[in-house]
Formats: sequence, structure tokens, C-alpha cells
Amino acid sequence: MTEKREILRVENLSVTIKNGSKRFSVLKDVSFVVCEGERWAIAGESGAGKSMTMKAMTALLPAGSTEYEGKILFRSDDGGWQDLLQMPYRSRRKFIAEQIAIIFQDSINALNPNERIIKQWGETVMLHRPDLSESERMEHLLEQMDIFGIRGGQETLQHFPDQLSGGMRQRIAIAMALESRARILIADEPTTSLDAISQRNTIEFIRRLLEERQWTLLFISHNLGILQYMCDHIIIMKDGCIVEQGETDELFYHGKEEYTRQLVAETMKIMGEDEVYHE
Amino acid sequence: MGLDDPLPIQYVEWIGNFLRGDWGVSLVSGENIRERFLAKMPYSFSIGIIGILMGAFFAFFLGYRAALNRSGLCDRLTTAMTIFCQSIPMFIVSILIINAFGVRLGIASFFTGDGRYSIIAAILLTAIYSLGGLSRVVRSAFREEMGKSYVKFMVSRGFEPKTVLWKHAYKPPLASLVSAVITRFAGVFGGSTVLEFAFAIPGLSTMLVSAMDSRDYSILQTYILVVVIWMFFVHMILNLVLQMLGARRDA
Amino acid sequence: MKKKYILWGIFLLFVLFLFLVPHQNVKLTDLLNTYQGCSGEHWLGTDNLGRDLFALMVTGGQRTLIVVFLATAISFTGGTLLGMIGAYEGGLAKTVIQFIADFVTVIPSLIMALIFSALFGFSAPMAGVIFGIGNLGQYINLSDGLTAGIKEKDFISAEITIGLQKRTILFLHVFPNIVRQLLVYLGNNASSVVLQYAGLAFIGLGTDVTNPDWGTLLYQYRVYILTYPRLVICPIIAVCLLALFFHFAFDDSRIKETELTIYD
Repeated sequence: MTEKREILRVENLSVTIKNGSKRFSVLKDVSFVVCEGERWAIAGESGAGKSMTMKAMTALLPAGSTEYEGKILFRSDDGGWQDLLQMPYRSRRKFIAEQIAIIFQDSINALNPNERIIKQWGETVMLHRPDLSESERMEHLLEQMDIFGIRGGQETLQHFPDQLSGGMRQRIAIAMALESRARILIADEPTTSLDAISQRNTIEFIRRLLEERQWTLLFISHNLGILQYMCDHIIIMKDGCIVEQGETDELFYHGKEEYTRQLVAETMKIMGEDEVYHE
Repeated sequence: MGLDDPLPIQYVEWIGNFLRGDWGVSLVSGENIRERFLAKMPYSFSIGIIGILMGAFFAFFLGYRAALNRSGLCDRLTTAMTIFCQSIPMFIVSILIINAFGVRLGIASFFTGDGRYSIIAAILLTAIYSLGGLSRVVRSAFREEMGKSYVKFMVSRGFEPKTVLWKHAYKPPLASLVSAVITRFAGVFGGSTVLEFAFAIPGLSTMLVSAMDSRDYSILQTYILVVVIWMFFVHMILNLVLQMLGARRDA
Repeated sequence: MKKKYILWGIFLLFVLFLFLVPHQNVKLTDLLNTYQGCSGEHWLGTDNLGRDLFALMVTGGQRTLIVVFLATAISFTGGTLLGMIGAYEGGLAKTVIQFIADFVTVIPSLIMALIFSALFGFSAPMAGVIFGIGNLGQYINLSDGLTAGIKEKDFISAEITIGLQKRTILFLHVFPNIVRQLLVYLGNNASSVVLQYAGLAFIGLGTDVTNPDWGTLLYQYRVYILTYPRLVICPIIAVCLLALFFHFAFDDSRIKETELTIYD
């Protein structure tokens, strides 16, 4: 077996956010290592620091009011390591946008309500591939719509977001998120606001994409059932700290920490009633 | 003149004449009311409309800067201006301006000459008094957009945060600004009263006050109708502009 | 929070002071003792007619407070009630209420007050009532918008479903949820009434010297700004302080957004 290539290292990351005179310590000493092609899950109750970890890694926290400690190392294309926290904010954001694609919790509302689909999507394509001509761009859009199962062709593109169904909007948002040539996908509770059927469709869709494109995944959810189905590694968080991390099955059946066992036991109880995600 | 007819009939007749352009003559001074109004209107309108538009123009940029930099210089400035406008009446500032520039420094004459300085001062004061409130409107509209998912999503896709706000999120704040400006237009008549009085500008309000002194009801009647018609126009323009901004887009 | 109690404490003392402290007759002129400086007899000195400035200021303060109280009471109760009913009922009721709101907003209340004082003579309570009605529109719009927002919330629709009485829902469940925002507006509105009233007195009553309003005093004394600045400064400070007080006393820091965005 060949040695797996590490792609992302988070080392002793602590994050503090200031709001006025108040200071919130949102992450405390978080460390983990992700290798290429692995699928990592971050689990925990709400407020445990799952989304904060994601936002800290992708520079989506309030830029002027956040203090970072530790390192976020990213393997760049040439093989060297880059410490994201050492880069100035603008270039860091730019670098991340090229390397990491993000799907958000409320992707139904993630489109700009004031602009037509074609404008938002077209500008996103332009951002990542400025070399395309206008007709090539159009061709690319239609192609992507096909891949992501977005019906309606040209006509859909001319609509404003509120004229489309929720499912359609979500798929467009995902398609737009994946326009960059990223190698890592972060999904932050992508199914929380959806009904059971759409949840299942979305999950299956992301799974298929990952298999086709060989991407690395970081999946954030409080739903351990979905995580077990999607991911091979798991991090359990509580109060901004990592409680335990390891391979999913190992952690699920031989968890060392009391908290992990509690969380898993809760999930098992629910899954007994509804085995949607059981293989 | 039909003064013996029942009042409702007189009134309907009067409105009919009004719409045909015959605004009648003042029952007290015998002057042609229409000519009198048309001579006075430019003063009141230019003070109100130019002043508010000037204020709105700067308010947009100031509000944008204030939203971008929370508790920064612009944010503090707009708050201070709002409190200033809420606690110091315009006429007090007018008195101080007249005293400072007209009496002490002697560089502008407010009560003699062609009244040029009076009008400029009144316009600037209107602009400053609109600036504070309007910039807070723009600021809070921008703040609201800044917290929305689509902004976060665009930034995550690699758009420059400021570009997102400036080029892709400007419509709702602009729509709020336009509504606020047009609501203020409604107060153009009342708002310029104090200024006209303080700077001795021969506008509509000055005319109305002196007409009331001499119990000249025909002027009052015309004034109220003009205000109502003005409001009607203002509302129409508001809806048109909001539609253009896509705030009330048809599904 | 503590600051606010202090502010209100000072205000109450100020009101008591205004209404209880003995002062001279404001109509008493004394042409032998004009432009007197501050003394034990005349705390703030005398004006161009030899009247006691302190007495004039106190009476002006009383009148201003009456106007502010009447105006805010009328527009707050009327506007809140109408706005809540309009948003809750919808349909024809809403249309009618919206029309009322538009109508009173259109007519400049300063002008209305001028017209009425020309017709019936000027009195402070009348000005209060006119300002109260003139400001109804903003309260209606505000309470309408807030109520519409609350109505969408689950707990209210649950209450509608289980058939709770309309009155109960509106007063016990909607009103407590919107009152905080309305009170902030009330504060701003009270300061603007102080200014409006001062403006009205400044313009409309320049001829009537017997009304000791702060605005009137300013109009009369504006020519003495260089020779006897005390006469001008007193009313200016009074107007500004009272307006500032209303602004800060109703300011609610809990409403101010504290959420950080990626821009902060």
C-alpha cells in the first residue's frame, strides 16, 4: 500500500472572537491531519465548534475581530506546505477559494435574490476561468446544468432565484460552489433544512461526486447516522475542543470517551426506528 | 363669484377651475394666486429637493463606509450627526450661521441683496440635516445584507468581500435610501418653513404664514391642494423607482 | 442600565422642579431693571423688558413638557393600536388604516399647527394634539410592520388556531413583543416634538410676546446674541438638553445588532 499523501494539517488551533468588550473563545487547541481522498466528519451538538472549525479554516470569520493561534497548514500544488494563518487576509481568502469548495447549511438561500442566475453563475465562472469567451462560458453553464440535473436550460438561467424551487436553488448553489478547481470539499450541514427525500438525494449526490472526482471531504453534521454512512474518519467536538478522533467504525463501536459513547448511543436509538442511512 | 352657492358646489367648482389652470384671485389682496404660487414655489422646492438629494448622495457613501467599518470613524460620525440633528433645532443653527457669517465675519449678507447666500445656506443646512438620518438608513440596510447567506457564499467562492457588497448587494440599500428620500420629499413644504423664516427667503411657507395673518383662506385652500397633488406625484415616483430597482419584481 | 436609572432620576427631579419651584410672574415687566445679570433675586437675570428669565424658562419648560406628553401619548397609543389591528386583520381594515397613515404623513404638521394657531389662537395643548395626530403615521407603519413580522411566528399562529380571543392575542402576546422597538421610536419622536414645538414657537408666535415658550424667547432674543448672549444661550441649552434626554432615555442597547459578519 502506498503512503497516503497528507493534504491538510491543523495544529493547535485556538480561535478567539472579540465583539465589543466581550471575548469568546470558540476553538481550543484543535489539531487533526487530513490525507488526500479521505472523508472526514466533524460531529457534535450545536455550539460545539463544528462550523467554527470550518469557518476558521476557510477565513470566513469576522476578519478584523478574530484572533488565531496555532497553524493551518495546506499542501499547495508544488508539494510544499503553506501556513494559511501567515498569509494576509486577502491572499488567504483567494488561496482558499481556489483550493476549497464549500456547501452551506442554507444553500437554498445562498443565491443573491437581486440578480439573475446567469449573472451570478457566469461571474463565478469568470472568476475561476477568466480565459473563457462568452459563448464558451454559456456552453460550460449548460454542460454543468446537465451534470447537476438542473432542468430548463437557457430559461432557468434567466430566472431570479425566488422563481425557482428550493431543490433547484440548492443544486445551482452546489454547482456554483464547485466551479473552482478545488480538491477539498467542505459540506456544512448541507441537509439540515431539507425534507427526508431531498436529504437523501443530496447525500447520494455528494457521494457520487466524490467517487467521480476523488476529492477530500470534510462533512459537518450533528447527525451521526449520515456521517457514518458518508465518512471514514470522524472528529467529535464539544465546547470548542476535540473530544476524540479516529476511524469511524473504531470510534462508533469502541469509543474511549464517555461523551462519544453517549452520542453514539443516542444515534443508535434513533436509527433503530428509521434506518434510512444504514447500509 | 358664486359666493352664495352651497359650499360643496363652490368647492367642486373651485377644484375644476384649479385643474384647468385658473387658480382664482386672493379674496384679500386681489392678486392672481397662480402667479403668486409659481413665483414662490422655486424657492421652497429648490431648498427642499436639492438639499435632500445632496444629503442622500453623500449618505450612500457615508452609510456604506459606516457599515463596512463598525465603530469606525464614519460609523461614529453618522451617529453623532444623527444625535446632533435630533437635539439642535435647525433654526438655532440658522441663527448661529447668520451671526457668524453675516454679522461677525461679514462675508455674506443674508437680509440684503439678492438672497443668494440665504438660499445656499438653507440648502446646505437641509443637506446636513438629511445626511445623518439617511446615512443610518443606508448603513443598517448594508449591515442587513452583510449578514445574509448569499454574501457569505459569494465570499466563499472567491469574490472580494468589498466587491460583493458594492457591486452585488447595493440594490436593497439603494431601495431603502430611495424610500427614505421620498418620504422626506413629502416634508419639503413643512421642512423648509423654519429655514425660510430664519433666512427671510420668500418661499411658500413665508407666504402662507403672512396669508394666515391676514386671514386669506383662498391661499390656504390652494396650498393644501398643492400639497396633496405633490404627495400624489411623490408616491408615483417612489413606486416607479422601486420597481426599477427590482424591489417589487413581478413573479 | 444603571446610567438609564440615573438619567430618569434626573428627569423626574427636573419635572418636580419645574412644577413646584416658585417663580415670578412671567408677565411682570420692569423697564427700570432690564438686562440684569444673574442675582439672588433673578437667578438667570432679566431680559429686554425686565422680565425674570428664570420664570420664563420654567414656564416654557412646563409648556414644552405638556406638548411632548400629549403628542407622544396620542401618537403612541393611537398609532400602535391602529398598526396592530391593521396588520392583524388585513383586508379592508388595513387599507383604511394605511390611508389614514399616508394622509396624516402627507400634511406637514408644522404647517397644520401654524394654520390652527392662526385660526383659533395658539395654545400648548392644541399644538400637542396636532403633533400627536401628525406623527400617527410613523407609529402606524412601524407597529404594522412589527406586528406582521410577529404574526408569522409559530406561537401566534398556534394561538389563532386554538381560537384565543383577538384582544388577548394582541395585547398579551403581540404588544409585549413589539413594545421595545416602539419605545425606541417614542424616544426619537419625543425629541423631535421638542424641536418641532420650539420651531413652531419660533416662527408662529414671534408677534405674541406673552407666550413664554423657548422658541419664542429665542425669536425675541436673537438680536441680542452679541450683546447679551446669556439670553440666547439659556433657551438653546434647554431645548438641546431636553431633546438629548429623550433620545438617550429610550435608547435600548439590547436592540442594537451585536451579530458579527465576515466584514467585522
